[in-house]
Amino acid sequence: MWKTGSRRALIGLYFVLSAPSYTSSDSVVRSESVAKVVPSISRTPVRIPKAIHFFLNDPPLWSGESRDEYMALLAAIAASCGVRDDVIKWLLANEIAHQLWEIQRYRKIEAGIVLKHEADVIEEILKTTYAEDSDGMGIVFLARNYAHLWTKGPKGRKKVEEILAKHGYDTESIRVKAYQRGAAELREIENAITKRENRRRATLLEVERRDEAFARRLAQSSMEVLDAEFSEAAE
Amino acid sequence: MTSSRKVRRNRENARKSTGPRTQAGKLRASRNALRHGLASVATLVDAADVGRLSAALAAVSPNIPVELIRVAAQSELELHQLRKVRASFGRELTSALEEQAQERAGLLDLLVRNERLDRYEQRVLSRRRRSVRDIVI
Repeated sequence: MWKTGSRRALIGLYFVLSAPSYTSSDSVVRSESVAKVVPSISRTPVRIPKAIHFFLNDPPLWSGESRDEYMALLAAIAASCGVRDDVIKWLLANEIAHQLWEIQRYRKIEAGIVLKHEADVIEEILKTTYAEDSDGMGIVFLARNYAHLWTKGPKGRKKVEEILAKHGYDTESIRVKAYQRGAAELREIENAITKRENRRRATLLEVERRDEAFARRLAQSSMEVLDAEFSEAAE
Repeated sequence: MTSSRKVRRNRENARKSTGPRTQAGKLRASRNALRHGLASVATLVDAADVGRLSAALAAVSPNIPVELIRVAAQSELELHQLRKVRASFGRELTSALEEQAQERAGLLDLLVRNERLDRYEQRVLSRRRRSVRDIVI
């Protein structure tokens, strides 16, 4: 059965990914900062068997992605499933970690695409609205600056929202226009995510043949990671 | 219609061509038809690594024939290698996302191409799935 402690461990591990550290010189994988969240995990670090360390320690990452974060995710899944020395279980846990990583990767790209289109929409709206009530000086520059500010977090966004409100636009209308513009790209991303989800399910079915209990734990831990991702996005 | 004189000259000229002569030229020409290398990713897998992983798998599946273990190790490492090669295409995608609106027009093409390349991964994944089944059951 899934223990509450393990659930907390997994979510804790997942949320401290921003400042993870683990010793890669030996095969111990753990996040030192986890100790502050879930002390029991830090006392029992997950150890990748030396025989497979050579390739599990070298994940296939895209430019700009953090190896530490990937290893922390793998450690979280391995710890929550109780993977110890069984090489096959490690390979299966790594496969699930990879698929979750890919889903997260495409979600980030999706968010990036929406944000870019929102900025484009804002730039266009501000260019036309400023053109109506000003002499045209610096309109392009100003509109681009505000569009850029929109992408820079909640503080800048609030300021742009106020300006947009004066011209009769709200966040929802901007988002709708952004989704319309990026529809084809977003459809491609959604297809990619669906494919990875199906792959994760197929892997779990395969694991069930070997060890039903392990498959259940893997399924549960990967769901926890996905749930944590959605909670994080909602916050 | 091509004249017989032209055909004769073409044939004479073709006989003069002997292809690349230097080692570097031959190497370059051997890659003329290479598009992304994902179909031949198996050649990138180190035999020593296959041996190491086979030994590790054999330790947990002692009753499984060595050949099946080796196939499983090979396909696991092929999958890993293929994903590493694909990661380089991902770089193009993320940098396209950073561009301004006009230059970003190619993003959709990149997304479509990225998913088209996914069939290579699916192929290796299926092979890996079969091989793991063989050593597990």
